[in-house]
Amino acid sequence: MSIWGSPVAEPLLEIENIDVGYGEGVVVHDLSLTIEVGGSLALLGRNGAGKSTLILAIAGHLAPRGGRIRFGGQDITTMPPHRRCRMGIGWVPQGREVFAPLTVEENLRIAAAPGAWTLDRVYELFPKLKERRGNFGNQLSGGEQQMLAIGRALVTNPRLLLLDEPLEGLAPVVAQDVARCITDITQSESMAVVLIEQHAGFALGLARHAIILERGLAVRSGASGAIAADLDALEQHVGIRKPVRAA
Amino acid sequence: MLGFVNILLGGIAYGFVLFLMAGGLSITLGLMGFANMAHAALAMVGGYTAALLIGKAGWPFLAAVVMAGLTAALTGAILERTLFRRLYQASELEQVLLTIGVVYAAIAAATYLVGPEQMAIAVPAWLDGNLRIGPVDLNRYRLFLIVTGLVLLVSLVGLIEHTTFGAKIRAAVFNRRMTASCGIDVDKLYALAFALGSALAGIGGALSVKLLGLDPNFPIKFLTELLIVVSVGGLGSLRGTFLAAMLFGIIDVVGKYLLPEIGAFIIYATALALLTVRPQGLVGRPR
Repeated sequence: MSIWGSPVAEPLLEIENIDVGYGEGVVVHDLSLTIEVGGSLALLGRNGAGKSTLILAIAGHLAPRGGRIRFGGQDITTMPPHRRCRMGIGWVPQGREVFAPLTVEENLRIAAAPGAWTLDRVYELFPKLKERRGNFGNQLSGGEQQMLAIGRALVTNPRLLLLDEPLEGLAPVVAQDVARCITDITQSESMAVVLIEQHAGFALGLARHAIILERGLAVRSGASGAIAADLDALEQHVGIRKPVRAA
Repeated sequence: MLGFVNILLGGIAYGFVLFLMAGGLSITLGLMGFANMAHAALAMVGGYTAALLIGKAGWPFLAAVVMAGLTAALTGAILERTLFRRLYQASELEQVLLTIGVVYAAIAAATYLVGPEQMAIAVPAWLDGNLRIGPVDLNRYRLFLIVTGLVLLVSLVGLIEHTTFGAKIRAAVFNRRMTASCGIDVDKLYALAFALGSALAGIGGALSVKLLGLDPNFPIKFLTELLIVVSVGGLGSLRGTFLAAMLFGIIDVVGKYLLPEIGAFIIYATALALLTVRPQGLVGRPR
């Protein structure tokens, strides 16, 4: 079943032949993938390749036209987003989507579910957020908003974290900070991660596996090392971007 | 002079009644974006519940008012689950047409079930007559309305601004999709918010009977007033709704006293003038 990884690893997310799109158009075609418990996957590809569309389908905001999505062995293809979150799918959307009329603390509190990740632990990870806990979402810098979006997903205590361009639009120093935290989270946890990132170097350094999407089709997939070594494929489908070093 | 104090008190008391009835509309129209023209019908449900429980079943006044809130909340929740929720994504015109239909159905139902005559409500002795404070005799019922209104205002603002439930509502209004992805059942949250707004309307309706009277045309008579209060206050702002309710309560009562010939017209003129200067309302943000 699994297209990579050891066959004994327990599958967490299984996507089988899904077609996803907006209105009449299909953006993601016949895509299948599996992520095991604690696994990590980078989604690479140009703008419009279907990366965010795939993430929206996993989070439950776009219904697939065909195919199936299973999470923890349960079919979630038609499950509404709030139940997917409660099952353990955390989403850090592109553009952060922080709740502007809520304080930092409220942003976290409304999402919090019992588990290892508490508000205090998020404040430990991002001390900046603790300083600004009484500030409203629209009073934060881009980096702080990104930290908040990540923290908000963490306090739902996900088993799978969906990260959609977490470094986009951040100043290089801030981006490195955030990148380091993401690395910490993914390496010290049994939390699985799907990462979309324009900085292919960072994404491939972080995730064990990678898929390259082009016009909604998975054109390459495999271990990150192999894909990183294959610079031709990267240049052709992704465009080489200066990698962000995750300390 | 002493007479004027009581008239001012009457204006403030009327303002609180307007606030209770319009506060729920501010939540549903301003926060949830649903144009509920039937909101005053929910106030009427509260009014009839209290009047009948006291008049026919001999309930104590306060218990009847609480029951009026619960009945209106239940009615609102049923309407929301069966009818209104289908139109959350629809145009405002469709929402208005459906809820106006509910208004006429409510008027017909009230006429059929209770009859077209004016309903009176008996208040207990401790709310009747005047309370002498120094040189002034103050109307007890108006004082009671003001105290009750203040308590409910503070509780409501506290609920929306300082509790997790309130934060969830503000989040859902701001970004429904992201709220769902935080594990929150937005559908259920809206149903609860709707029931809460309906309960306020029901309590406002019950408390208003002694002041305004009650007949089956109540939902139409007060629709305009409530819409004026909510739009002048600023959509979605409870503070704005409160300010506007006070303003119009006082202007209406004092205006009718000082200038009886044009009294009823004054609030409309004020609303027009205010909305010309501040289309976003007193507290609302420019759109």
